[in-house]
Amino acid sequence: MRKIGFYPQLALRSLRLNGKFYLPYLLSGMVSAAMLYDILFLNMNRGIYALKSVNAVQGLLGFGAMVVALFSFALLCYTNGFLMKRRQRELGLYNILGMEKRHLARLLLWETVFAALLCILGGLLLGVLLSKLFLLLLCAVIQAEVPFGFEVPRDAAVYTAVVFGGIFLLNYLLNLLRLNRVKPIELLHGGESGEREPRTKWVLTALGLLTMGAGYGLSLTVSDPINALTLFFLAVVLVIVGTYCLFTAGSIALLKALRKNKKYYYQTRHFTAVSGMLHRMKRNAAGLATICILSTMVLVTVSTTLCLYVGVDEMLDLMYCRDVQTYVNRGAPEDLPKVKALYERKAAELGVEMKDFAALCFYAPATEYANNRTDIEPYLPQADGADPVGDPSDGPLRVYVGCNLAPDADASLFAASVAVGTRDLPLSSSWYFTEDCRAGRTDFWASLGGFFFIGLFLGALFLMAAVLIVYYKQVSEGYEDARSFVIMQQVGMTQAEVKSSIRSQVSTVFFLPLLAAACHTAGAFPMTKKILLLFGLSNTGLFLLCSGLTLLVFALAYYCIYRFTAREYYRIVRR
Amino acid sequence: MSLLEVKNLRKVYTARLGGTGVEALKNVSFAVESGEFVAIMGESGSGKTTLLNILAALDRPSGGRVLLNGEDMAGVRERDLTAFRRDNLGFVFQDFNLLDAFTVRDNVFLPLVLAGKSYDEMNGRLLRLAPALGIGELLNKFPYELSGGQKQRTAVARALITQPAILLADEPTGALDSKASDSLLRVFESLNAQGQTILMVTHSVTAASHAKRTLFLRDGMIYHQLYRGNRTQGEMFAEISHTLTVMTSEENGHA
Repeated sequence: MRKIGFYPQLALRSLRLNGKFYLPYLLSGMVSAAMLYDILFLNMNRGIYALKSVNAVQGLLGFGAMVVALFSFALLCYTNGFLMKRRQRELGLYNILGMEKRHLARLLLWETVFAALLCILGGLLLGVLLSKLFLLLLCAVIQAEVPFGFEVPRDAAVYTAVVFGGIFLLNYLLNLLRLNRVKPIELLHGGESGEREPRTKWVLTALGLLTMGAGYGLSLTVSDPINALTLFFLAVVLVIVGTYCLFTAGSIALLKALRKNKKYYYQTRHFTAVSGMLHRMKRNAAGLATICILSTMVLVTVSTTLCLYVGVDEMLDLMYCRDVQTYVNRGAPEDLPKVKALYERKAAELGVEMKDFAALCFYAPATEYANNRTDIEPYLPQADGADPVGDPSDGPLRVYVGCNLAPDADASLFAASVAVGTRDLPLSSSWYFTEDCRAGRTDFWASLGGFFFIGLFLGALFLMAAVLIVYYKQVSEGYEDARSFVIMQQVGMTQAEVKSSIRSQVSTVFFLPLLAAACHTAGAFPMTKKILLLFGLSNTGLFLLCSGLTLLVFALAYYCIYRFTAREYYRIVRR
Repeated sequence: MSLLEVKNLRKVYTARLGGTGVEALKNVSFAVESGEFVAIMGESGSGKTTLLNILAALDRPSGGRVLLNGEDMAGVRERDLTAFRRDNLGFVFQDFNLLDAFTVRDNVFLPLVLAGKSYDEMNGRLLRLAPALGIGELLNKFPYELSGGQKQRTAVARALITQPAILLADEPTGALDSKASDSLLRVFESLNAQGQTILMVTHSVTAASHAKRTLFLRDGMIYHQLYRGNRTQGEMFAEISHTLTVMTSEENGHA
């Protein structure tokens, strides 16, 4: 075997030595690379291109790929920063032993190269292995036929490699910056220096309360579905800012208030937990807030897409209640007989038989529009000739004409010829459309399926990130706390007390983000409900059920992560 | 009856796989009367730490007995040991072992909080204790804001707040400069003058010279003991140095 150089060897050795920290980093890098490859694969798959009605899905997949890439970037940068902080002492030792900073830089370069190679190659391998599975899953949810064959689109692999190569390069540059800023003695003592107790930041607390209140207020007060959609992202940003502020400043204010309460604070159970949390809240708050926001993202994304997907039949019945239909928006009552006559003429020309013929005009509030369509069933019994149903104060006048066709009749041909015909009619509004609802249904299934798929896909990614952050938090705190618990036992704390104190502290820190996430999801409920209305889903009960179910499953998964990481924590502390 | 009696104490460490054991303590017997200030001196490997660990009930002896107030420590059940330690023994360590997350006040309160005492009682005890140790001004500071000497005096306060029968100190001056060491030893002397029993393990001659009695431990046995009597600290220092010299040269002669 050819002897490999000193630095590569040292790099490999230190990767192995720091396995407890590097393994999760490499694994998550690998999984995110695999996910990026797979979503690109689905986006570029020629088999799917051949399928009808997947244009909407492809757009979604492209968007999803962007989210995956950005998110992987953020995640790996965060994790890398954490790893470097843990390794300061090791690097400091090398420095003292005579390695100059440029040698350390070379060591880091090799480490980055190995990590990048492992993540990219491993990720691509994993991605290729999983690609068929994802393809089957996607085809199942969009109700499309699975294309034959197995392909590895070269572009998908190249893009993935480029994106992740870029991420690792940037991490390396960040590490160099970090390396340049510190002195050897600081490197050696890194992480040991006593940390100042955090000050109570009233301004930040107030800002947090304000933004959080504004976000929740938006969600609770918005009444118009279209406004809901545009304001949703504003509300999301407000709540994210609020969460960060309140977790960093609010938690400290709260803990300090608890400490002021002498009766509460000076009890065995609360004493160590409160002071421990206060001590590390400054560093932890951002991590906790991130976990909270990721959890909220998972909950909102999965619950809404699940609800849409489950409720799709209801929406389809509402939106496409006939095989061919024509809407005239902001029309006039005299448009109705013209369109009605057009239908009858075209039916005669093409020799098709119209069934369940419906022709009516009505005043409908804009809130009842679903994708520009309205549920006509409630208006149908009152429809009588050309007189509009309802009150003009309800909203603009809509004209609806639609009919069912025999199963073997060509709906798309009929719809196309009606559409051509409407253009020649002098209608009072220029805002009208005719559609083939059979095709519309298939398209809708595809796009909703796509939504659901992306929801699950991104949900899985966010969940992985949350797990990773939680794991690192627990492990690093375990190392910090090990000494404290030894001291407490020397001073007279029993094993049982140590255990219960750890449990109280760990579970508070752990379940706080989950609680806040559940709260956020509940707060977002009114707004997401309105947005679902835009898609034609008005079944609040179903949405509630989907949200509850998602929360339950998520809480279970979260609990499993908690059990696992808490065990790691005990193991480290007990040494 | 002596406050602390150590009778024929033996401790054998057996390697997990190898058959032969190492005898850390061979046959140690001594007694500490109430109100004494005893220093135990010895080289590293002489069995000092083992002895202290057994006295602190952190380790169990292989043979012999340790009686505190006439009560055999071997008779204390495992799960009562922590409470026993908390109620009877106070500890001072070489590296202070203060908790960074707590203020000085809370560090001192820690054992009492663990014992479930009320705040008023804790505060009352602290107010009586703090001036004697010179930490009255520091109560709201955090350990990282203190000097080594201040940290050690905080640790002494933490050890004393439970009003222990014996204060056990393991190399209390080991991490302090000479000035801080001196002031800490004076604190020990004045505590002792007020009746506090102190047992200190050290290999600093200066530290031992402040004690009323010094025991010399070698190869797991008590080799010699010196009473200070009416001697000054300086005279005691010379005496201890001399004993150590004899002890070391004897050892070299054997070899």
